Amino acid sequence: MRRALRVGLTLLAFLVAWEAGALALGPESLPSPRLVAARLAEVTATGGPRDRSALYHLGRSLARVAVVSVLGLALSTALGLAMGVDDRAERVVAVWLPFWMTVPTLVVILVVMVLLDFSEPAVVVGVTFVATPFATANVWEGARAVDPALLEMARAFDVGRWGVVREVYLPATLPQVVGSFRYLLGMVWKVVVLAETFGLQAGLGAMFRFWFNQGDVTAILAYLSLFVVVMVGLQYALGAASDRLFAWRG
Amino acid sequence: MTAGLEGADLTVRFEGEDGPFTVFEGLDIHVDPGEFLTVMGPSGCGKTTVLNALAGLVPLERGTVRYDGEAVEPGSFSYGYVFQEPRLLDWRTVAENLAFALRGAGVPEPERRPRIEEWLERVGLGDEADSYPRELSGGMRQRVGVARALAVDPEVLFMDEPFSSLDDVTGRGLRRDLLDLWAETGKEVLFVTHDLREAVTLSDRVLFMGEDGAFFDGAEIPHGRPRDFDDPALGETERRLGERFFAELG
Amino acid sequence: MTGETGTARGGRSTALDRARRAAPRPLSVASVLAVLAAWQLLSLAFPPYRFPGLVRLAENVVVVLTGTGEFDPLVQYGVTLGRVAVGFLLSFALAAAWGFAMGVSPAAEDYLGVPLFTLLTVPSVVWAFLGVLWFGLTDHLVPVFVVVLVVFPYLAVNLWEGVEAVDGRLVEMARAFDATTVETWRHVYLPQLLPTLFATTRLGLAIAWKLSLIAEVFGAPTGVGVVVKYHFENFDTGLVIAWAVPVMLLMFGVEWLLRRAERRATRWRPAAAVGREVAPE
Repeated sequence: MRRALRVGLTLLAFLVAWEAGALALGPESLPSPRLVAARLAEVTATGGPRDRSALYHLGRSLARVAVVSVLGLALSTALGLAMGVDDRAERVVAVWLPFWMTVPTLVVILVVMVLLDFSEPAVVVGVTFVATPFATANVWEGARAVDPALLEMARAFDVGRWGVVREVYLPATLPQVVGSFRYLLGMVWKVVVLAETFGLQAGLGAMFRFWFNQGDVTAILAYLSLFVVVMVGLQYALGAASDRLFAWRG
Repeated sequence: MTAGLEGADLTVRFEGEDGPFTVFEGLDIHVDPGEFLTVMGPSGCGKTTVLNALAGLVPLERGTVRYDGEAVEPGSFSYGYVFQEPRLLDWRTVAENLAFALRGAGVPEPERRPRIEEWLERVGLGDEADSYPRELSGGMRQRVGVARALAVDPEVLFMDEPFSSLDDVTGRGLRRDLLDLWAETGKEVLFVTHDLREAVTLSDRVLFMGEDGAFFDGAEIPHGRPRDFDDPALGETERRLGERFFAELG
Repeated sequence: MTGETGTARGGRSTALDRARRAAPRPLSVASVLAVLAAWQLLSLAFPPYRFPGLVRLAENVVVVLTGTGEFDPLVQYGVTLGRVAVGFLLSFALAAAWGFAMGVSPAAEDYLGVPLFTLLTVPSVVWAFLGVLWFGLTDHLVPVFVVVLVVFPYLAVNLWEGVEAVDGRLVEMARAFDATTVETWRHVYLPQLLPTLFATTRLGLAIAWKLSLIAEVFGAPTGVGVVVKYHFENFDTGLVIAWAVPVMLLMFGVEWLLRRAERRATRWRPAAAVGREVAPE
């Protein structure tokens, strides 16, 4: 209860500061919350360039995010678990995992976009490439932390490799996997938007680029509000769901 | 008695998740000069909090503390504290751990080294001054804690179940050493434990605390010093008091 | 590179341990070779100026570093490096204040947490766009602005968690022995925060670099990001990759140095405490 009050207070303070800033700096620099809200309603209802509404672009971005997240989750879970379970797999992957993480995001996106002709697969491949190593590292950490006493017990009962993965590793690393998914989601959103700003016609990133070229701060802020609300909502929902899921762990 | 350590009308309340929670209310306690007083009670009854309130580590909602007949701020008299876990700084040597406390007590630089050496010698750790806590056993670490508390030359010694995490053999050795050291110094000791045997063996007087945070009974320990740990009479006293204590707790 | 210190005796590595760590395992070597071979194979599917083979890539990197291309590497890398350094330092300072406040006070945690998590959601390009529209195409302001706004929330979260992880019982012990605030910070807080401070520094530098490039694409007249944009617009992705290689090498060098410093500073800790954390974006 107390926390909800404080959060509410912070939001209120933010809106007040925004309004004050808007009054001080003028609508060219900092449009007021009302202006932005109005603009948001406008682009959602009637649409922007080529009559596509904000919701259409949101949908396109969301679709890409979904595909990349699922792909990334599958890849990172497979790799991370393999690394945690098998020493040889770990050595093979661990040697270039740091390189993979260090490659600048910008370069990956630009190169993949060019090589794959700015297509949908280009976005998916590029963003998945960027996000997977971090999620892999997360899952790997979780797999490494599996209680060796449990593994010994499984060996004592002659449980085979796959059995151990299914019955011991998977349940033990589930929180880590879910955590990775939430982390992945947050990251993937932003990188998808980055990819969309380079030469794509549909998606929130494309809209940001379009309105930037128009010099329209109000529109950018309107789309930003939409983006932030959706993202925060998603993270919150996922958080609540995973809390419920893992409540029994205490 | 107006000398020694006195607490009157002590009340401590915490802000819990479901509202304010009273640990104890209107508690009176006094430790006579040179007395070894033990507060005994089940886990979670608040006996540690009594110590912490007198030491000024936990705020008193109501109540006064007197030392040597004068009203004082809780904890403003000189005291040494031995915690349940050793609470040593793992990244400092044993000698540096003692120096940390001596600095806090305002002991001037030239006096520190001699005191450290003296007290480490007295607890049987004369050779471990430059060792790190990780290199010592649990019993040895607790000895360092005792040395630390005594090295500051306190008027009062607070001890919160200091031997509860030790095995029987080690604990017995430490209890004996504690009594020897205490006999030399003649300070007030306020000791907390849930072990009736320990209370009977060590103290001059025992106070029983119930789960509601109130003292419901107390007793003098009618045995002379030095205490013989194997004296059957001690066992008899323990049995007698045990009946009264456990009867109340149900 | 996995971050395990794998020592035989608690914390202090023997010569044997160091030798073990330094020797490359045959499987790792095979893995590296396999990846390089895959790269070479992939490069056959594209023209060399799009996706260079290993030889062509090496040639490109040489061209970049010796300044025989269209851009002076000293100027471009220097400018970007400067922005990264300033951006990182400002971010760290802000994150330290923010994160410590949140770690120490539950009220601060509630008030300051919401803006932090909201800031974490904003894509860097949007800050770049807004920065340019607000400040114009100044020399350094926009990239530094973007770096600070994006990096400091990550660092603040890290530092916040680090402060929360400090053992409260030791802080209580310090109070029981009347240690001053300075003493408590020096002997109780700081030694426990050291690993977090190092990890946060590594994280901060890694993100700051990546962010700087993105910010420079839209918001600066000079810098590696600008160079990359130029080559990108000419579809010269071979050169785009070539400009990225020295950046990665530099990052590895810095990280190696930081890990060494951390190992030295935390010698009292048990093994496997020098950990890896994730650097996104």
